[in-house]
Amino acid sequence: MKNKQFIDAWNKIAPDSAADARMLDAILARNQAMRQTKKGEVYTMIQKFNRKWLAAAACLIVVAAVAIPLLNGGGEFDLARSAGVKVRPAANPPGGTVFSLAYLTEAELFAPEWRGMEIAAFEGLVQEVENIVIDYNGEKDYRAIVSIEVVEVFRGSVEAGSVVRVLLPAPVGGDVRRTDTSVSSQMTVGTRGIFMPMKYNETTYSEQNGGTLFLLDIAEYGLGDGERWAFLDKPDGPVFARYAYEGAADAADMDDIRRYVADMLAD
Amino acid sequence: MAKSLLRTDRELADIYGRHKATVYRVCFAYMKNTADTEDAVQETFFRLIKSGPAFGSEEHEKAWLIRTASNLCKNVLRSWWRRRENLDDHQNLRGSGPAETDEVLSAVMGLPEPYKTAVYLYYYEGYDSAEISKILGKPKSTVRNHLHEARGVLRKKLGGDLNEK
Repeated sequence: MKNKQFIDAWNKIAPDSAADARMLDAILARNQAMRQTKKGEVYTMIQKFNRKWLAAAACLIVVAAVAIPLLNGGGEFDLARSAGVKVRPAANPPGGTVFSLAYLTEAELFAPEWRGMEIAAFEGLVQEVENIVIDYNGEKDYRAIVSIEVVEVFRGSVEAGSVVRVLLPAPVGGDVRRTDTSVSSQMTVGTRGIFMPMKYNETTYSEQNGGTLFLLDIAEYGLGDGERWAFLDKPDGPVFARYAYEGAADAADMDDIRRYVADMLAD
Repeated sequence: MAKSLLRTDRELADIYGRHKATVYRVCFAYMKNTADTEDAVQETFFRLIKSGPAFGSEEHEKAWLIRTASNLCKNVLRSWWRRRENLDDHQNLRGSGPAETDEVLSAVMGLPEPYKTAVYLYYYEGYDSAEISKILGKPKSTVRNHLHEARGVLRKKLGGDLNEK
């Protein structure tokens, strides 16, 4: 009887236990990533953007920072292009702000550019960290700028040996506690890692409460969010968003990370 | 617009446990090899996570997954590079069971894609043509035609009659 044979035949098609475990692990990892993403959503306006670039947009929307310290140090930054904005160092930034982390595939995370801005990839060493407050006509955003010495370039126009300023979505260090910044919050002085910030151009700006901050006034580069686009070399092993970079989820050291990044950039 | 659901890992694992075999078979019918099938199964559940649809019943849940898996596999197969894939991976299943079963499986896998899914849903899952029509989003007449054509092909390959169920 053919029907019985059909059922027997289809019964043979099933995942083995290893495949079953692999699929379930991947699915649960994605679920966790999605829940973290949803947890972090606060800016509903960014939902208008293409989801592919929500994370980057979130960074741009809330950006702020500083670039050229005044001669006496510790004062306001000199903002050549911006208007209605003041930026100055922040000694004790408050915690609590959350950021939107839209889900992106690994391929999207390794995309070479966004809206004409290149996404660089380089290995470097954090030389300086400065927490800042951006004052948009009274509305304040707290961020950080890290100066990173570029050691080796994997992609982009940045040069090895140069020092670049990278705007982070949240302050670093101290008692600052902010959600969805588990990676960027560990970019302390002396941290080595692989960084993939976007390179700002003349038209990249952040607007808030009537103030406009052109990002090149404070940094050459910016990180998309506080979790991704960075792999930090820490004593207990590499620190990065393992849930987002599934291909490196089991990475034990930075050599594993370097191989992974090289493979992804080669694709 | 209904708000999408964020499911806990436990809830998601339960859904996966209930329907993994069905989703796997639907995907395998299209992809014909285990590696691509795994990818397709994962992607189907990723879409469940992303869309977060609310279901009225487990049947509704199952139907959603079958349709999503089916659409997803069809999209993959439309890619130009996919058309050049080999079609022999299902041959690897041979030798792991009775010869008649392998023959049946091979014959089913050799059916055109839409026929295969219809045959699977009809003969294995027990759906009728109206239900398959809803699940796959195709007219009933098309589903009936696919089943009819599939029976004809299988009759030629396997001989004998194929019971209605």
